[in-house]
Amino acid sequence: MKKAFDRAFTVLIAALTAVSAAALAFVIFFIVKEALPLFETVSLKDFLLGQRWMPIAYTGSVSFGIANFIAGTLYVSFAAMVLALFFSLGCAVYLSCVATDRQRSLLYPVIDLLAGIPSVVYGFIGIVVLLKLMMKLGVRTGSCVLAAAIVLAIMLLPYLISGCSESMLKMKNRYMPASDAMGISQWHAMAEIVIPAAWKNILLTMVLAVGRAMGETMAVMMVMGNANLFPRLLGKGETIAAVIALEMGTAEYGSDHYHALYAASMVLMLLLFVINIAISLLRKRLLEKEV
Amino acid sequence: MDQIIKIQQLSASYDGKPALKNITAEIPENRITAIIGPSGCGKSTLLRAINGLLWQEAGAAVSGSVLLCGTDTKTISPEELRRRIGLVFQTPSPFPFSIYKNLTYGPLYFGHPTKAQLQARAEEVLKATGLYEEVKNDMKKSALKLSGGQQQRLCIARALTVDPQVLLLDEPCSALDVKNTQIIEELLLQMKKDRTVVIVTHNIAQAQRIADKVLFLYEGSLLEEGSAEELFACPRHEKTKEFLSGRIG
Repeated sequence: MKKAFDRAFTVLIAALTAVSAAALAFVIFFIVKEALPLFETVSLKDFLLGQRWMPIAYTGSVSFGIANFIAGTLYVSFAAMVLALFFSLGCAVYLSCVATDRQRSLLYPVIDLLAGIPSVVYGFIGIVVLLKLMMKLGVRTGSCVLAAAIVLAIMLLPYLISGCSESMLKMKNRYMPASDAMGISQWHAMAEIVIPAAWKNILLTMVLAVGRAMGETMAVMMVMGNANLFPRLLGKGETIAAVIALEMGTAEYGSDHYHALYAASMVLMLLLFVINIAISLLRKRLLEKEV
Repeated sequence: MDQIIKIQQLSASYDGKPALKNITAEIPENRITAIIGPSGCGKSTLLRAINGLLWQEAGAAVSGSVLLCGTDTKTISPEELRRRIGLVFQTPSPFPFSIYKNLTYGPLYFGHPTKAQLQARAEEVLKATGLYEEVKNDMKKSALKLSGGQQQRLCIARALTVDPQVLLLDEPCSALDVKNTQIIEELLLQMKKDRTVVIVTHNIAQAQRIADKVLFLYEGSLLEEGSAEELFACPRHEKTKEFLSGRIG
C-alpha cells in the first residue's frame, strides 16, 4: 500500500516537473512560430541591423529594423549594471566586513524589500523625481537613457548587494581569522583577500543582474522616452521590451507588425539565453576550482 | 629559565557563561608548553587570550592580564602583539593565492622588504617547515591545491614569515595523518631553539612527546601545571589522573 502511494507520488511530481519544462518549450515554440512568417517579407539582416522601424504604412513604405532597440536594451542594461555595481560593492563591503551581526540582520531584510517594490512604482518615482532633475540638467523632456539606467540600477541593487555581500561574507569568515591572527588590519585583508577571493562570485552576480535588467520593461519604458533613436546617455531610447509592450496591443493579428513584434521577442529571448548560458559556463569554470 | 609570558588572574566569560576562571600561569621562553584538557575546558580561549584576540571578541568579558616580556599586552597595539605572537589554527587556512604570495603577505604588510629579502625569507621558512623540497618548483601554484598536511605546514611557515617570538598552535594536527603529525612535531622541536611554542592539544601522547611544560585545564580552571616529566609521571590532581587515563575527555 505504502509502496503504491510512493509510486503514485513519484509520478505526480514527475508530471508537475514535466509540465513546467513543457511550458518553457511551448513558449519558445509559440514565439518562434509567430516570428518566422516575418522573414518571408523582411530579411534577417534588415531586421537585426536596420534602424528604421515603421510598422504601419502611413507615409511611404513599412520597415522593420530593430538595431536601435537592441542597442537600447544593451546600453541601458550595462549602464545600470555599472552604476549599481559601484554602490553595491560599497554596501557589500560594509555589510560583510564592517556591520555587526545585529546590524546585518536588520539591514538584509530592508535591502530585500527593495526587490519587492513593483516596477511601476519605480517608474513612477522616476518620472516624478528623476525626470524633473534631468530637465533641470537641460534634457528637454527629461526622458533619457541615463534616467532609465538610474531607475534600473536602483532596481538591481538588492540582487547585486545580496549576491556580493553573501560571497564576501563567506570569504571573510573563511580567511579573516587567519589574517587577523597575523595582526593585519581588517581593511588591508579586505582589499587583499576578501574582495579578490569573492571576485568570481561577484562576476556571476553581475552577469545575472544584466540578464534581469534586459528583461525589465515597465520602469524603463516610463522614463526612457521611447523614441527609435540610437541610444545616447542624455538622449531618448527604446528597449526591445518597451516596443513589444507598447505596440502589441495595437498590432493587427497576423500582420507583419504582429510577426515583427514576435521576432523582437525572439531576439530578446535569445539575448537572455546567451546570458544564462554564459552564467552556467562561468559557474562551471570559475567555481569548480574552489575547494 | 626566563618566563616570556605571564598570565595573571585571567578570567573570561561569553555572554555570562564563564570560560576561564582566574588563571595564573607562566610560559617559559624557548620551550614547548602544552595546554591539555577535555573538550570545552577553555584551552583555545586561553590561547586566544595570549595574543589578544579574546579582548576584541563580541560577547566576551575578560578580566586579568597577560604580560609579554613584562609588558601588559593590553598596552601593546594589536598589530605589534600579533606580529610577535603568531597563531596557527586547527584547520589549515591558507589564503586563496599562490604559495609564494601566502609567504609575502605578512612581510609586505609590516615592512618594505626588497624582492630578494622576500624570496630569502620565503625560502627560509619553507625550509624550516620541511616544505621547500616539496614545493620549490611550483611556488606559483595555488596554496589551496596543497594536501592538508602541506597546507598546515604552509600556515606555520606563513606565521613564521613575520618572525614571531612566540608561536601559538591550536590543535594543529587534529586533522592530519600520522606522518604529517610527525613532521610537524619534529619541526616544533627544531623551532624551540629560538622561539617559544605553545600548543593546545587533545592528544596526550603528543604532549608527552614534545612538551617541556604542561598546563592542565578543567572546566575553565587551571588544575595543574608542571614540567611534562612530573605531570605525566605522577599527576597530583584526581581529575588530571582521570584525564590522562582516558576516563574523561
